[in-house]
Formats: sequence, C-alpha cells, structure tokens
Amino acid sequence: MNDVLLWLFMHTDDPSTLLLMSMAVGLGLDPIKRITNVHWSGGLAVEFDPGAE
Amino acid sequence: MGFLTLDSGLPNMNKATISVWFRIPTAAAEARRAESPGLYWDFDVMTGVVPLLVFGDQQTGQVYEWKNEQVGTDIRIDEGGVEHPQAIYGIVLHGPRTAPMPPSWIGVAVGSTASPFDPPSLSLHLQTSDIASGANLSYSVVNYVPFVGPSPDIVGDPLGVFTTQDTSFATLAAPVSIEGVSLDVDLDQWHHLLISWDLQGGNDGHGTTEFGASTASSTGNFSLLWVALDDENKTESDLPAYWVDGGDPNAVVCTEVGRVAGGHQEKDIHTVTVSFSDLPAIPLCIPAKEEYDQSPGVNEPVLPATTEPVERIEMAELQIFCGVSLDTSSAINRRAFVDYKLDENGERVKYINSDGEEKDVMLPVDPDKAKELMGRRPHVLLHGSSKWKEGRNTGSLGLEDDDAVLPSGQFTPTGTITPYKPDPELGK
Repeated sequence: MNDVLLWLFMHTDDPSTLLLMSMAVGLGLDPIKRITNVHWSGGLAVEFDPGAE
Repeated sequence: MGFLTLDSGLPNMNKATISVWFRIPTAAAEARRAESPGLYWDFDVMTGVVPLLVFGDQQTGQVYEWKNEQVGTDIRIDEGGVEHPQAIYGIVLHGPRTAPMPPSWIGVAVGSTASPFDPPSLSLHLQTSDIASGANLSYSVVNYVPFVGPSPDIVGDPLGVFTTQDTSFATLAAPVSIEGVSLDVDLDQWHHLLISWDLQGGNDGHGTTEFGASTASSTGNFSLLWVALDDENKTESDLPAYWVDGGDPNAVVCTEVGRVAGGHQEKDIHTVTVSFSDLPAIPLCIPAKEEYDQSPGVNEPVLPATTEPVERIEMAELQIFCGVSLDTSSAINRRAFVDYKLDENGERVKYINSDGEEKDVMLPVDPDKAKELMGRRPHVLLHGSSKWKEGRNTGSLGLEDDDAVLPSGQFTPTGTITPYKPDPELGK
C-alpha cells in the first residue's frame, strides 16, 4: 500500500494524490516522510514552447 | 509561444527573494544569439539574453546624443592681410528622442552569434522608474563667438570664446537600473538560482580628487544583492551588478552611480544621486511575454522594432517572496531551497561538472521548508508540472490560507507549456 502511494505521488501531482496521501497518513503509513527523503523528485519541470500558436 | 502572465504583478519588489530552477538548451541560446546584433547603442531590451522571469512594464526613456560638429569659424588674418578661415568643432547635445526601455528581468546572457558568451552568464536587470540627479558628468557647447583678427599662425587652437553647459541632466535622462552579467551558466544542465536584493531607498556616489580611491570611499547609500548559483554563494565582483569595490561584499549600486564612484577628477567633481520609489513589477511574465518593443536606434547595428525573447527552455520550482531579503551566504538559508541527494547509505551523491570538478548532486526541497524559514508563504509558488502548465499560483497571492483560490493571483497560461523530464537536479 505504501509503495503504491509513493509511486502515485512520484508520477502525478493530481489533487486526488493528496487525498490518498491524507488517507495514508490516517492509516499511519506516513508517506510524506519517505517522499521528503527523495526530495520531490517527480513531475516538477515544464518546457516553454517558443513556437507560434 | 508558451508563457505565463500574472497581470496583477508583484507587490513591493524593492526587497525580494527568488528561488528558481532553470535549464537552457543550446538550441535556445543559439536562437537568441542569432537575433542579437552584438554591441548596441540605445536601451537594451534583453538583447542577447534568454529571460527566465520578467516583471514590470516597458517605460519610455529619453535618449540624447552628443556629436562633434562645427560650431563656428575663426578667421585669422596674416601679415599680408589675407583671411584664413578655420572651422571650429565642439561637442553639441542633440535630443531628446524617446525609446522603449526594458522591463526588469532575471535571465541568462548568451551574447551574439559573432561574440557568444561561452559559457553564458547570469544576467540581472532591475529597472527602476527613478531618474537620478547629478553634476559635471558631461558638457556641450551651446555657443561659440568666433575669433576674427590678426594672428601670427594661420591655423591652431580655437581663439574664440566657448559657452558650455553641464549636460548631466541628459546623461541621466532615463530611469536608472541595477544591472550586470556574471557567473558561468552551462547550457543543457539544470541550475538553481537563489537571488535576493534590498534596494535600501537609494544610491549615491561621487568622484574624488584623490588618486586610487576605493569605490566604497566615494559611495554613500548603496543597495544589497545576494546570489547563490547552484548552492555556491557569490559576492563582490561576482555579483551581477556594480559592486561597491572595497565595501560590503553584497553592496551594489545602479550603473549610473557605479560609473562615477571613486573616479578621479582634478575639479568639477562628478556626482550622482537617486532615490528609489517602488520597483515596477506589474505584470510578472514567465519566462517573458510574447513580444517587447525596442528602439532600432540611430547607429549601426539597428534592431527590429520588436523582439520575441521566449525560447524553448525548462523551468521548475519557482518561489517569489516579496518585501523580504535573504542572506544566501548562510547554508541554513540555502538548505530551505536546495539540498543534497543522498544514496541508500545516506552518503552524498556526486557528479563531475564541466570543469572536471567533483560536485554534490543537489535537489529541490519541499516548499514547506522555505515557508518555515521565511516565516510566511511565498507570494508566488509554482510547484509541480501541472501547476506550471495551468498557471496555478499556490503562493499567498493565489491561494488564501484556507485554500480558497484568489483569481487575481492566478497566472494566465498562453500557448504550449509541457511537462519535462528529467526533473531538476544539479548534474543533469
């Protein structure tokens, strides 16, 4: 369960993930601590396209 | 053309702290270089610069020119009564004409195709709306009464009477800026910039009759600038602005004051002083808006009337704190924004940089750490790819403490903004 939540968080930043994380904290799984250890290394960056629209 | 616009802009940027990750591909640098004519004479609107953040609107500045031209004709009469006219030249002020000025920006100076910055450098331009006053900075001829009469020499120095004026008002006709270029920024790699400033009300400086005087001894009020690039704190001449040489390691002044402070004059000492009002910061554009006006100028090279500075660049994890400065020399302060990557044994992961040096791999930090350090949420927080794509500002301008959305603090996304991998990490 905990690994699934971690994978979700690493690969999405959808609001529903936050809900799942909250549930995990409620279950005592503390995914935030583990995620802090990997320093938010998923889904952070964007690229600006210079092309004409 | 992909970019984000915060129409309501930022409050109180006279003090600010900004943390951002960025990556400039070689293709973006080459595209911007191809649009740069190199040395340019009028106001520089991001010429040869790939912008990361642009704030404040474009103001209109005044441009004067000083030209060496004929101001009269002496007539020397030789012993035989023959008249010898001699054209007399002097520096004459022309203008003003108006030209669009740059907004403020943080970016990367890449130079031109003919003279590339290799590697590129960090570029800072803080464009105030404040005009400095000063004296003895420049002069022009306003009148010349020619000499007419007998002369033993039929040619020589002017014998008439010049009337000149102090044209410091023309030298200082446009609002001042704190600006500069420094620090290597390798292309095709992630970088982290932590930058902060405190304009401190104003700047002033003067020349001196002493030889070898320090800039600091001739500078009164100064501003403060702190920069850490890739977690390395930078000071003094490494700062991207006029450093007050010999003074505080973070003391900087606007270009107009920096040019005169500590300079030697035998008389007619140069002086410049300016007080700062609010730094223009409406709107905020990331990395820039689609198009800016620029003056073609009157000298070669001339520029097109507009420039489109947005290139294909990557950005991540933006935090802007308005009205507060931060000392980047403190590792504790930097750890709230960037921290070491550890392996499974808790050891720091290393990489080899372009100079062959072993460096620590570093990563972004949970924004809550910065909130804890600064004692408040950032005004602007773009955390996570989807927030960037949608322009969802979860900083205090965009989100109430109870998570209610503030529409006026949300960015308007334009064009294509797509997720990018790899995520920010020093060494990648």
